[in-house]
Amino acid sequence: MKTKRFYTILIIGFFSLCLASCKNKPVTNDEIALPDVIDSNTATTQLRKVTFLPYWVCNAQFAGYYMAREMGIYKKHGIDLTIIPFQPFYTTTALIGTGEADFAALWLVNAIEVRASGTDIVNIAQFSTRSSLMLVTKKSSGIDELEKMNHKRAGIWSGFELQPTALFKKFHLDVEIIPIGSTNNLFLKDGVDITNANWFDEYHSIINSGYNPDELNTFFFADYGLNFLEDGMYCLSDKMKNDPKLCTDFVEATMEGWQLAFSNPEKAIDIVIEYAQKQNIPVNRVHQQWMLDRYRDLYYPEGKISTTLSEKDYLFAAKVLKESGLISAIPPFKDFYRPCKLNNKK
Amino acid sequence: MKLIISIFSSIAVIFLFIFLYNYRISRIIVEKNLKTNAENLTKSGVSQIEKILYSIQKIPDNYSQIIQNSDYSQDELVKLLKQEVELNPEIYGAALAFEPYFTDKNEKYYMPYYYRKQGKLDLIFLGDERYDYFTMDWYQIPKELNHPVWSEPYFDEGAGNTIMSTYSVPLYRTVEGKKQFIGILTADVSLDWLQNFVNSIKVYQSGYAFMISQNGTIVTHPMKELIMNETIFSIAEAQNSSQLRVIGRNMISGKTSFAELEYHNVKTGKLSWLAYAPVKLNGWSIGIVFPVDEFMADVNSLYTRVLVLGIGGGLIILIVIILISRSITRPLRSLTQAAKKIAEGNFNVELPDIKTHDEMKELHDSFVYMQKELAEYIVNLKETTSAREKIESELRIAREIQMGMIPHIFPPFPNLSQIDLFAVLKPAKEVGGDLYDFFLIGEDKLCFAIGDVSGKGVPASLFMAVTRTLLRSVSDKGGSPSVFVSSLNKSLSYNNESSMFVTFFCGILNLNTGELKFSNAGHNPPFLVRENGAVEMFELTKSIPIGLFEDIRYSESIVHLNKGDKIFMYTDGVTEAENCEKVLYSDKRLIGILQNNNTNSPEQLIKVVEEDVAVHVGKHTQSDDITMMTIVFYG
Repeated sequence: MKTKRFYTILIIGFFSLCLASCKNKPVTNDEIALPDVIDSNTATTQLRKVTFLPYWVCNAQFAGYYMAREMGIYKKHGIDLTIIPFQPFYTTTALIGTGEADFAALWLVNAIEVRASGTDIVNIAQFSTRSSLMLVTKKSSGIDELEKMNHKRAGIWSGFELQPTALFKKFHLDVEIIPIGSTNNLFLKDGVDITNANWFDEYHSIINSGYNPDELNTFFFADYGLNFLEDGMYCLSDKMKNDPKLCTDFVEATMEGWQLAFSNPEKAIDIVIEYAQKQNIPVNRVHQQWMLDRYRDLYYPEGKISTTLSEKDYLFAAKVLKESGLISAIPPFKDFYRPCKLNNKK
Repeated sequence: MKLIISIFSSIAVIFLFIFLYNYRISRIIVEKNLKTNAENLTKSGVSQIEKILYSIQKIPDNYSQIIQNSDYSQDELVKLLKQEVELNPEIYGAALAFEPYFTDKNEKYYMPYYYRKQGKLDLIFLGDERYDYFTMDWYQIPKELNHPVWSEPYFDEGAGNTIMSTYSVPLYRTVEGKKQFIGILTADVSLDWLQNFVNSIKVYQSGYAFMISQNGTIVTHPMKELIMNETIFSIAEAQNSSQLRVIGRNMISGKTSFAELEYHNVKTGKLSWLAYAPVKLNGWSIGIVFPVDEFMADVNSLYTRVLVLGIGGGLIILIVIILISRSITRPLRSLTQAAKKIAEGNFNVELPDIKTHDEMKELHDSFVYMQKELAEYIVNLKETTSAREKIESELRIAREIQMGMIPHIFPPFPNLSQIDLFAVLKPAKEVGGDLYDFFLIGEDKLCFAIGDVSGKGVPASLFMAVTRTLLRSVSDKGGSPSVFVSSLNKSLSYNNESSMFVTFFCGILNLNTGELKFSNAGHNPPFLVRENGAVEMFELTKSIPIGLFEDIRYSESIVHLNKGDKIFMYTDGVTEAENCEKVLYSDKRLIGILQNNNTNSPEQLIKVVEEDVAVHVGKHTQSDDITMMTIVFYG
């Protein structure tokens, strides 16, 4: 039963956290030439210890971070990074609020919620430019257009009801939302007609559970005017204020990590799998490959990584949150978005 | 050699055909057995797994009945839960989870959980904001589907790092006549036994069994790194095998197959067969990989040996064929050599010794017979040839004698200006029956004669010699042609038992007057070629040839020759000379020639006629003696 799994993951998580913080690079690669050699000044100076908290377990959706860490890119930028293994019981709020995590990756709506609830976090870089969230139905159910979802049952991850609710409301659909855990099993066993899925993750898992793509209908929220941006980089506003250089270094190193991952996908996947296996997370190569490919689509649509968050995108997501009653007031954009100044070099 | 090749290749083709047929049939039999084997193995595997799953299911099923049908207090429920785990060692842990606020109006969560911890039972209460069990698969799926469900497999480090599956039974209670869902009773089961059982299924060296969950997740597999990490579909994607994906879809949809299916053995990469069947109780599926090449290895090794034996046997057959054919052809070759030597004339060559009593012996005996007969024949031939040579030699002499008997020096009378004379005799054989003769009687009379003895060859020539000798003899006594002919007839007819006869023309020309007395005994009438070119035939004789009857009196006639007139005498060998088309030379053609060449000298005239006859006859052989004589009277 999941309970025990979570407990044990928790224990192992802490254990590996300790391990991760005291050990050296577990993976080296002589085959991939780094863009820049670690420069002697930064190498000799004291590395700044930094912790980062992803919002999910080790997967290729964080390949840029793992790649940058294992390939010494963070070190090149003077950072000794510890990636805190994700635990369901770790709320980002708690960790980032207490400063246990220096930086965290969060989806925009979750970050706005955190900010609105009083935790003084700021967005220092917005990587995601498009929502990957989608609804999936089986063609056999006959739901091939949004209108046909009326009076149907949708399995939606508990805590992620905002976007689907907004979609159903926008299109005046009466859909029964069944809060589900992190799997799509209820959908696979025909317990619900509709399920939500990330294009880069669960959609492929459904395909790898035996459904052919031509047996499924997909509905991207972005295509229905609900393009909630996802991955962004967050830290406490004090950290940004006190050490903007660290923020810049961390963001730049991360971007470099992503670029290296996209240009060396095999290596990136090797690293991700190694991390995942250490954390006892079921993982397979084709799924990680799919995930990295989709992240290239989401992060790297024009061959470069953007870090900009537009006020329009911010306000759009924030308004939906406010209308749904999840937040009482919209935090001002200028307080929320504090992009770090990046050097122009790649 | 040809024989050896054709016999050997026929045997080889027959052997190969039998071999291939046998091999194909053997493979089909092995494949059929393999299918039966696969079906039995898979069915028995499934039935054993289901038996165990069923026995586990029974426990929470029974407890759920107890819980649903009575109104237990929380303590009693916890006791029942403890009992479920305590009494059933196969159950690792069990939870009883209720709907929000069901047991206590102030408590959203109520979930006692008994589990084994270091050999003892431990009880914890779960369920809070963080562990919001209502959305968890083990709770939610049976609730939504309204029937017990085996969960997807999951790893559990707490239970000893094994793969677990939870069997969840939904609980209901009837409230105001309505069936109402109240919670879930679970049994967590370690799948160690399942893994051990499935892994114990070994098929030959590299065959194995594996199990996938309803989502296709690999639950058991000899390659541990696949377990829980991969689904059959992710393996299909990694292998880029649409076929494996189809197999996976069939497996998770509860289909069965024992038929031949191409499947790349994940362990060896070799093409194998895959049999699969569903475990209906939890919707999982067991797959058994059959390494066909190993099954076929026995057949293949058998047939490799058969092939080696066959090739060895073939070589022996080849050697035997060569030896036999050599033993057959050796005497044949010897006989051929002997035949060549015999052909070269060596009749005494030694023939090979044949010890067998077969066709070769018969051939040998035939050769011996032939050799003997040939030798005898050659002896005979030699004798015959020498006899013939002797005869031929004698005939040559006879010819010389015969030719010597008739005058053959021309011109015969160079001192006589009144006449010129030329004659020729060409026998058809060595010796002939024709004759001519001329001689002077006194100083002014020329006696001449031409004759043709009936028949040809030696008898005719002898008769001719007699005739000529008699002519000279009777002419010595003097007289006229009719006297000569009559005398000849009388002499020849006497004791003429062979009944040979001679056509005979005899004439006496007075060289002073040109008066010609002649007597014709059945001979072709000669031609008188006048100086002016007119050709006259002597009148046909009414007398019969001489030598037949003694008492015949022959008459004579007189004709007067003018200056320049010629007499042309001939035998029927001229006018009856045949060509290939059996056409005779004819009197008419002869007359034509004589007319055209009337001015020629006797010798020229005879040569012309001779050439013309030769032209007419062509390549046809001369069938009769040819004799011509021409006398020209100059006065």
